[in-house]
Amino acid sequence: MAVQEPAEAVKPADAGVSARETLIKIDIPEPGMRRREVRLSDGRYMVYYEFERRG
Amino acid sequence: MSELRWNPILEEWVITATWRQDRTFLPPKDYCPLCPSRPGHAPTEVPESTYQIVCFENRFPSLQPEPPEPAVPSTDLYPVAPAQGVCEVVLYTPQHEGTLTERSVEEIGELIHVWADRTRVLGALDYIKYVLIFENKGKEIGVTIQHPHGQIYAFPFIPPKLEREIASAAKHRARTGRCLFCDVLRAELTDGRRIVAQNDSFVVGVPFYARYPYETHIWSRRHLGKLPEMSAGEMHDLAAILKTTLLKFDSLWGISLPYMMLLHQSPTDGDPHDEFHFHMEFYPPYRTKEKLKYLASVESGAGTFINDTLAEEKAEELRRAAPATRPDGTLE
Repeated sequence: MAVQEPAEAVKPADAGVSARETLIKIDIPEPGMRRREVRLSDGRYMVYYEFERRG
Repeated sequence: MSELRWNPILEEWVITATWRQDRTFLPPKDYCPLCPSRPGHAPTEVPESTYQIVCFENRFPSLQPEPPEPAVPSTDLYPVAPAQGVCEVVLYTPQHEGTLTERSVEEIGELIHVWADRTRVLGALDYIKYVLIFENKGKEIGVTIQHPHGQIYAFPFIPPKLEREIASAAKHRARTGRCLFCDVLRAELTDGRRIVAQNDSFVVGVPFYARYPYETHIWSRRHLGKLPEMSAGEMHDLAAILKTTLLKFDSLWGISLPYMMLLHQSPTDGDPHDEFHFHMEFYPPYRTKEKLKYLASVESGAGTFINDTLAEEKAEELRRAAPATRPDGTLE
């Protein structure tokens, strides 16, 4: 699994993380798919998946 | 309170999760908890202003990574255990309106890649033995929030229906040396009457043994156990055949057909399970446009389904539904 950026090096504001979230990590589990995992204020995790779209 | 309670009669676990009684039920039209949060409006489950696909832990989970201790003592007759596991919600799109059917093949393909990733991530947890990906669609199935979404249950045990499928496949392999599902697929393709659609990697059909009138399965042609074993090309083909299947469901009667959709994958319990074969199952609850198929006494109390229809006739109806497919299942 290719890690794009070490989590501690990413500033939440730069990663698009809202005030209600704490960044856990950002990585690229497979080519073209970016995974951004955050912790919500109530302790649950949330994982955003972003893809390079053709359209 | 939440725990696993063992049913010694059926030899299966029942999950109790009393807080689910308080889960969101048909929220007001102007507030969707699964839409992105908007400035000046009440916050939703998703703090950000948009997303492509997002997964998160269910606020009202049946299973939890760190569950409470059972509230009742375990006995020899009635074992109990913590309800340890993970329940995730998967949002397909930030758009509130629509269904999975309306997503493009590219977007459905992205969702399949997410399903594969969640299978890898959740299946790697040492307490998870089975990752079940599913979608309940429509109020007839009990859906309480309309925003397009599915769910994932990562179980600490192999659910009983999957356990039976695995046992049948193992028995068949021991007896014949072949995969049960490969034999089913071969039989369906040879007969042909129950085939609905097909492409290079997948075949859709109403199986010989369908329990619901419009029960539909998608079988992978290649013998593989779970999504992470698929090539990128197979995932694309699965997206295309899934889109075709969903379009046919909706064009059957010109309504957005409700369904239960499940991905049956091999377990993540550490055993290879070479006997298992990836497939998807759909159970639309209707037997005609106006009539629901109820799971009544014989189905619920005896476990025997009575199907009022013939799989051969329902497959032909689905072949004719747009996008129409030829008798061999290829697109016209």
